[in-house]
Amino acid sequence: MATTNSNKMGWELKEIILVAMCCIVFGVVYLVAVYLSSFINTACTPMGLGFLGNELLFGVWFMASTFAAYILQKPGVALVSEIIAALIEVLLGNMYGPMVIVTGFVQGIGSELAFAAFRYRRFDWSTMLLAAACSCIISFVWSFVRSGYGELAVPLLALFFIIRLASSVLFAGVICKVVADKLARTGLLKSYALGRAHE
Amino acid sequence: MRSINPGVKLATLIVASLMLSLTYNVAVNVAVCLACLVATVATSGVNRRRLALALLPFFLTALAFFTTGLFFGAGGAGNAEAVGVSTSVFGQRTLLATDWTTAMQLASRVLAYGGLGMLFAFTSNAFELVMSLMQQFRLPPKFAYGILAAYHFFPVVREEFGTVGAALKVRGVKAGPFSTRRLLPMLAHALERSESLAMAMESRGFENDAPRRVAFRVPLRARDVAFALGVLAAIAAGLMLVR
Repeated sequence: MATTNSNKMGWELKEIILVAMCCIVFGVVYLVAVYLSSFINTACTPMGLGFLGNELLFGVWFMASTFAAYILQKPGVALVSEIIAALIEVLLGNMYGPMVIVTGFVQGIGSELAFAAFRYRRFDWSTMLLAAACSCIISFVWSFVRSGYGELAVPLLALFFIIRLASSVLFAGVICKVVADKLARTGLLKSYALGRAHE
Repeated sequence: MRSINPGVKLATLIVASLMLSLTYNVAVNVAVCLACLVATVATSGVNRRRLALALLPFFLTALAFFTTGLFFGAGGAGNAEAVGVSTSVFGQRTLLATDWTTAMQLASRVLAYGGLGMLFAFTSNAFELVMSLMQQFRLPPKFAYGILAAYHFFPVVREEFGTVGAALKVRGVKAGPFSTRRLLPMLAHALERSESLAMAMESRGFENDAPRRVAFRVPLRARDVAFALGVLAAIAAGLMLVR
């Protein structure tokens, strides 16, 4: 362990840029998706379900975190990536502004906990799905503070939770893992933990 | 607004948002939103048309929250533990009145966040913010410059999204925004770019721990502290005085 510890904790410059770049890619994809979801939102608003679109895409927010952690496989990556993602959102002028950073921190803790539960040794389907689910659960608790979900009726909350969970598992769990594995097969990830695991 | 230290502004607005998110005070929320919008419009060089456009999604989101709160509020005694400040005041409400209040609380909060967000987004510069985080908030230089380097690729990546989409279309492949067929080439490019960027920076002598000077200094002045204290005190006073 002693030999891996030094490079296990520290961040290399190229890793930081890698994480930031992936955040940009996911950010662009997210922006496109937001246009689509705003149609759903607007259509559902008169029924009092205007939030569905947001919940449907919620998992996209966790993608940077689980994706980076899966590739770099080190402690702290999930949390720090999510904060970087949030900071980039702020730089790009996200409409929710500075608060996004706190949200990013909270969500990052969620997926970080999942990877920590496996002591950063296992990075497979179960870890990824757990990370996605944990981000979802913690972010849902945070929604009570931030968006006042405590004010809403329980059946509606249950519906929101299920949609958000499905979205997290799909985006942050399944899509991230599939794409990262495909990427590793191209050989581009040779200098990162995931690429080495694929050799 | 523009001359206030961006890092301090960021921290202040985060704390302000947190204060608002722990309470449900409709009047204060609306006041914060209006004050922020006035401050934003009053700042010189703010593009008002863009501001108006940016406000549109907010009103839609606030409306969504409003109807959600109106139709699906927790109602009656159910929200006693959730509403710290105002519950006792509305001890005896009809179901409709409760949900009306819930709707207002949820919607006004979105507007307040929106105001704070707009104030920041329209009066701050990305580069200055990162420099300020590095100079005043101890963000390590490798994170600061790494994030900035990637940030500048945003327009390129946005264009690439269209290019990849067009390339897929030409081949008759249908791919939604989240399809792995679309994500894979984009991420592959991102990977290559990040490696060559890092290599370029390091080969030009970028080191994290080396003592460094900065060409662009973001000052921290007394008025930044005054801004932070003033904004937070005003909100705290509002929350305590206005019920």
